[in-house]
Amino acid sequence: MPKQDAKLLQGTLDMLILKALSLGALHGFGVGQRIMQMSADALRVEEGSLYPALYRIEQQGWITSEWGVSDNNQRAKFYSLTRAGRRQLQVEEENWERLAAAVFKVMQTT
Amino acid sequence: MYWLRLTRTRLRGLLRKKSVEREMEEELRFHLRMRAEENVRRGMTPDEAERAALRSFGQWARVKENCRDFKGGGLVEVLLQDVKFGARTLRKNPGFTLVAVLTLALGIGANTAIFSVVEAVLLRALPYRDAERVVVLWENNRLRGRPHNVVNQGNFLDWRAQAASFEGMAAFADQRYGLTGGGAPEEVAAQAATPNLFEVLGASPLLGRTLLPSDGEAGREEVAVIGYDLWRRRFGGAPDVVGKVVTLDGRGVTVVGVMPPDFKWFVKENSLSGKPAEVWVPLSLAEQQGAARRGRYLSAVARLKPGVSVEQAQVEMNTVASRIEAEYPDWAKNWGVVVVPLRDQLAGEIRPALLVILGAVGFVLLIACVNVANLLMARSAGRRKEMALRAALGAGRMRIVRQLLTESLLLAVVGGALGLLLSHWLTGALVALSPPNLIGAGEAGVNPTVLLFTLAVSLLTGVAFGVAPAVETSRLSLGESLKESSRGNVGGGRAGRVRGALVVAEIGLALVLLVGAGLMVRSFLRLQAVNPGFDASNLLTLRVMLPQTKYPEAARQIEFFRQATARIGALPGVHTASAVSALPFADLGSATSFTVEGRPPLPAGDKLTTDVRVVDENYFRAMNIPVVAGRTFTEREAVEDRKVAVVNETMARRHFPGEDPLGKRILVNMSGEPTPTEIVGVVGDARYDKLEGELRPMVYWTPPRLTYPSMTLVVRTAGDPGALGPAAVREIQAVDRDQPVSDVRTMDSWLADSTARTRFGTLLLGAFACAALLLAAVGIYGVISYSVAQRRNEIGLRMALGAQARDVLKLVVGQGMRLVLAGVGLGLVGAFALTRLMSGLLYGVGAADPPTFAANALLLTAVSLAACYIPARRATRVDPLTALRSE
Repeated sequence: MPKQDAKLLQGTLDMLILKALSLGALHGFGVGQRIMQMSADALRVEEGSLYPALYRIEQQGWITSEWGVSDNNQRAKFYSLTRAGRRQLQVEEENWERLAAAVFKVMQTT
Repeated sequence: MYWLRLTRTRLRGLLRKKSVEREMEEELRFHLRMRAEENVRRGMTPDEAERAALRSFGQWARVKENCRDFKGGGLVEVLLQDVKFGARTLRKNPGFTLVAVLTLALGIGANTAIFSVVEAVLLRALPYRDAERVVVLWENNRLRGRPHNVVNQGNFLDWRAQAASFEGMAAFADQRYGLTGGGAPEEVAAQAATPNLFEVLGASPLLGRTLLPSDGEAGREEVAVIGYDLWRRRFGGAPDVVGKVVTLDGRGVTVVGVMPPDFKWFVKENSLSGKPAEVWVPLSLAEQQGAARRGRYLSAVARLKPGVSVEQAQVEMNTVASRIEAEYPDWAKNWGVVVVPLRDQLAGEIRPALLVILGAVGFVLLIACVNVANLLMARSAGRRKEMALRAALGAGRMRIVRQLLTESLLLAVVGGALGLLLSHWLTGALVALSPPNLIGAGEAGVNPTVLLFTLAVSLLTGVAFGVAPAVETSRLSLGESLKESSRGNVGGGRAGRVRGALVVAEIGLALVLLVGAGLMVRSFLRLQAVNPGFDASNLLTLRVMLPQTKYPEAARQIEFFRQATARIGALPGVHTASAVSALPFADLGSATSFTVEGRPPLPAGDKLTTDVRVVDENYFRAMNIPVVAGRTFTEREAVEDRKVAVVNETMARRHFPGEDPLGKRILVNMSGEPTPTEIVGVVGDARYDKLEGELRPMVYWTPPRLTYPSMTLVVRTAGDPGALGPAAVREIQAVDRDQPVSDVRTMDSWLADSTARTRFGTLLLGAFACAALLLAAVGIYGVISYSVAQRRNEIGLRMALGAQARDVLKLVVGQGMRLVLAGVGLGLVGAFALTRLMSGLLYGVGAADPPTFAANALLLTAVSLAACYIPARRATRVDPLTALRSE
């Protein structure tokens, strides 16, 4: 797989996770659900990518984790955004908007 | 911040692996449950829901593996995994592992042992402040080619006054003193030194003080500084020894200081005592100004000023020397000065031998590496399938190389640890075997430097023998393994060629070692065969030094020795007892210039020189030195100066060619104005200094002509000379019970000491060469055996098609011998290039000695032939039917 692609995907997934967590703490399953919900079922995050991404982001210090109890009374690990994570989300959102606008312009040109 | 967190995570992943794994597992299980519930909500049965959940989770194991990348211990964990896996693989092949580890332990152990001696002798910091600035100075006798001649005191004073390169310059002369009172009389090695010696060396006392500039001036109390060992031995380490008066050579001397244990100031070269001094007394040069330009007996040591190099000091001393030469042409013509760094002075004699041995032992390690590499290659062939499988499962080439290298390093490190243990004993043996003048060898042992060396050697070794097989195996695993499979084709392809090359290298290395050892053995035999000119067997020697205070007059000294030799001569079992001023191979004798009466004087600086020994009338008989012409001394001449001399054959031949030396008169510059002495006899040449080198002219005198207070008694016995020692000492002390006697030994042992260096080198190189020969034989045996095993089918086929046992033998042995001959050829070239480095260690044999080269090449070929023959025999017993059936 070309490296460039992987990086783009990874960065995008990171941003989505941060965005999902910006509304409140969630467990891993919840993060996947929230992203699906927010994208109106358009984006489905593969679990095989979700957890490595969560661990990686945690490593960066953008989110922290904590064991808690889920809605259905089961032990689950909850992730929440740190202050650094909030800053990172802002940066990524701006970058994304710039990129999206640029791509949009390119696509508009006939 | 990021790195801190990463490190913490990695550490947690490493150290608390279980709980991290459990948490991960729990989290993922929760996810699965949630997904299953969701599926049920969508209307699936619980069973279906769970399966769907699992499916959607993708490859469960892969996910966990991916997660581990972030949660686990990272590279360190992978490494640990490799190590664990490697250890398991090695444990599963105990035979292979044992052979490999032992081979490596032998190689690394031998290297560590030799290195620890090299470290102690050549590398370790000398126990003096800024020791690299300390230099030793000698007079350079250009005419006689003696660059390290002892120094004249007048010259020394001129050097000290004129040279600006030095912070300080001290002179010293080793002597022996009789120490009496408070215990048995004892002879101690002492040093008369200018008081600034301690300052020049930068040494401070443990107790009391060192010498002061005023010490040794006339009219002051006599003082001495003593060494640590003497202090412990003789004075029980009592702190109140400072201020005590001891009796040295019958004189009362006050102890003013004790030196620390690591102060072992000793320059063996030109030392009259031949032993490290234990007593230092002040040497006053001012007193001897009158005799300033007469005789040379001092050694000199100096401290360079900071920033002045040895070369700069040498240049300056050259000008100082030529000034002296111009001022005293008669005295100093053709004499220069050499400046020698202290380290070179102390290690000078042994350095080439040690470096050659270090090189040799390095070769042994290389051969050991080749053998282990060969073992690995043979084994890797068996592991090809495993590697192919791992490659198919997605292990990258680097991953496989890394795994194999880890195994090699593991082997090397285990071998190294075992080698370190081995080196502990080897070092002990080396020190025990080493010549007595290997200064510092006694302190050889494992220390951080040596440990670091061993570790570095082990790791390097691991890479050296591991990398070729690893690359080879990983390469094969990706490409040819399926093609080649387990069916042996001829020679095993590329891997076979690599193994062949390794064998060639191994044979070559072994031959270089064998030739080196062969040259040493030949030198040693040559040296042993040298006739010393006297019969060393059944000779007992005893050194007696009379204190000047007790025996001030020559007559009394002569009388003492006559009584002592007479008493010992009367002992049962004694043939002859005699005395000599300087014993062959033990003492430093006198040498001086002389003229022949009636011949025109020679130009200055071109004088005739001769050695001088003082002996009694029984000496030649005791030593079995034959009389060639005339007669030896009479009893009367031994007590009364009749102005007669006996000379050796070299003197007669060189200075009286075509004439009869008998009746000729010579004038020898020894003590006072030279008086003519008549040559009454010529005796056979005896060697005094060393067995090698040219013979020098010698003049023998009797004690009344020149009286030495120190003589060595030489006693020819009927039986074991050593057994007579105590009785002889008793007879001497019956003359004077306070008289110390030292060096009660056999002449054989003195002679053995003189060849100790050659014997040491021969022994070591011989041992290493044998190890190399053995390893090389094992190596070629292994390769041929393996190849025979691989070619079983082919051989079976050939035999089925009518090949005879003889043909198979020829085929297999021929394959092996091609490698051997290539190796021998390479080895001969290598030996030719390398043995010249050891020419300084050889005696009577050239570094490119053809017989040695030929004999060792033949020996190695023969041994290799035997090593090939055994597997070849096995090949002829291949049953064609079984071999073909297994196709």
